[in-house]
Amino acid sequence: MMAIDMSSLTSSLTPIVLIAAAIGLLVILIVYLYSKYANDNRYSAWAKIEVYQLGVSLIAFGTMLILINLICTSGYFSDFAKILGFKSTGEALSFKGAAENYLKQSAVYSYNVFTSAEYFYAAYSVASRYTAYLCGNSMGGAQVTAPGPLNKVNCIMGSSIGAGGGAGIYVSPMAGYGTYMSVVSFISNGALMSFFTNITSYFLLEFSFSGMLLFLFPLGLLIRMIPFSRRIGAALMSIGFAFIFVYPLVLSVFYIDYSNAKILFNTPQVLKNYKTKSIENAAVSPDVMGEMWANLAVKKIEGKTPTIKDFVQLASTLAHSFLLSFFIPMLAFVITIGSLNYMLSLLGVELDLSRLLQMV
Amino acid sequence: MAYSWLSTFALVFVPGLVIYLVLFLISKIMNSPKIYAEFKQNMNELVMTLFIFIFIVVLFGISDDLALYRLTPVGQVPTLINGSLDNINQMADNVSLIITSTDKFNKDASMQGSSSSFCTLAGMFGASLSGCGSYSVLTSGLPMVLNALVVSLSELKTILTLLQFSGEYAITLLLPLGLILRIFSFTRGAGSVILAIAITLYFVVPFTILIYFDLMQYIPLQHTKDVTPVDFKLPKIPTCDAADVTSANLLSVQNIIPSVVSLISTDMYFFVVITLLTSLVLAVLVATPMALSKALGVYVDFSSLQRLI
Repeated sequence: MMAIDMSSLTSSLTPIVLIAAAIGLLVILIVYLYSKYANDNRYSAWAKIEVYQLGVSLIAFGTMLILINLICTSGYFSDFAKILGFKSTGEALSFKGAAENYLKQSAVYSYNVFTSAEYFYAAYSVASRYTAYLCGNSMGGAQVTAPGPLNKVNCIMGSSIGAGGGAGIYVSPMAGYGTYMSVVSFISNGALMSFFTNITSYFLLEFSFSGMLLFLFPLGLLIRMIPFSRRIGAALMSIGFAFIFVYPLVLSVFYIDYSNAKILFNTPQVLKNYKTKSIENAAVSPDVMGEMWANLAVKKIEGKTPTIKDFVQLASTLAHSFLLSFFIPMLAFVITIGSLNYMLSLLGVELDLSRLLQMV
Repeated sequence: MAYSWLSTFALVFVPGLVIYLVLFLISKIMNSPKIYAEFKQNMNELVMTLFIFIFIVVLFGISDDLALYRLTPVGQVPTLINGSLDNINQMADNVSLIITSTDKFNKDASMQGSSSSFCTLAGMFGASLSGCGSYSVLTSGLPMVLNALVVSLSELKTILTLLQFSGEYAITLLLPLGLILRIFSFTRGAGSVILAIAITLYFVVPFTILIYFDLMQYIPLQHTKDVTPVDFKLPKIPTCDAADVTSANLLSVQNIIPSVVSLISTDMYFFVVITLLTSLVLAVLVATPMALSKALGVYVDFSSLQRLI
């Protein structure tokens, strides 16, 4: 991530603003002189309004620069958390840094739910498809009877090593795990969708501090100071400011929980256990024959298959990943748009942003 | 909850008051009616913020009494948040128990249903029998049941996390932040929305949940707290003879089907109750900040979040 150097930003923006102010002032002066020459009070009244608006632009520039500085300076977020009585993360974080960290941690959470669900799916798949060939009548605690009139010899003859023929039973002792596969698939898809939304929000944040801060915001300032184009400039400036100030501010608020780890970033045991587990671990050699060997194989496979308690915990993490990666970033987006609406009306611009909210 | 209202007040109003007094002095020195008008407008907003602050302090005091009146969780401080957390936790435990208790039934029925027998002669002639095929009827509806239960559990856990977050941060973090941002005209929009969200999360959402659970008691169907896994004890799956071609296996399955129907109806009950609750919470979560922020002078279209329903 590109670091924002506030001193260089201020030193590069100030000349642009001053040039724009000078151009604006020149235009106003020309109009004012013309009003005096033509003895027309309408033009001099216009010039007075424009001088006032130029002053507003300069004050807005100063205020916004202070607020952007507040968002980007390291340590301010940590100090803010301390003032309100919360634990600090231990590092000197800026609000922007905290917002970035929030989106990174929430993306990691959703990704972990996804990878854990993938392991569950693989393990259930291996377990449910295991088929045993049996001669006996006991399997996995439940009873499976062999065909009545046939004896063990016939049974063995009918197996893969038999040649003369015989009879036996095929059974999938862990077929029940297949039931969970569709649910795990649903959890995996949900986590992936949350992860994608999270990545989109992260991109928006990064773009705010590159495209919007370095292009849209200065362009807006420049245009607002020149008469006749004030409204377009105000719109651009407000859009830039809302995404540079409000969006990271709202996201950073939710990062305060990270060092407290009470609610949002409390990783459950199921994710710790399964997030990095390789799918290969779930696979065992199924080519065993006979009741005793089948029971051993079942024990071996079930030892690697997540339990029902793990399954319930995994189901709970889906909601959490949705909240972290989807709901909160979208809430921040909606608040940003609302704030932008207010700023636009404050600067006298009417802009319909309702279409932008359709993105949610 | 011990919370210092005085420090929030000092943090928010003293800087605001100082800034606007400076603005007032500038307007007098420059003799500018426009700056004076700005001062007046901002002072009005500051007074409005003060009224909101007083309203929240009063609401904070009343809310605990409301919780005491509606529902008092045993061994907990009677607050709106604790009351609703208690209800949601109980329901989430019930849903988890249903999922867990379905597990053995599902595994046994699936295993019996998967068995088949065969008989060959010299590898040339033979027959294969799926005498336990009828057992698959018992498990065919289970993926749907589990999906509904997992969705319900997810919904409950989302509300639970939201409530926990509200209890921990709505008053201590969102409220002061909203009030601070409301001081400056540039950030007043964001401040109003954050303030509206804080009020919704801390007061309106938990109160809605308490009322919902209270109302559920009057529904002439099964009482929420009565529907526990005890009500639908699933039977033991009888052994299936994979080589049996008589109707014995089918009859065994027929005896179990009523229990499966009972499981499905209980599952649907929970699904409907929880989905209704989630829809209600989401509607409140969307409509209240929208109305509150509008009252505070900012129109935010939260309706796009309603699509989550």
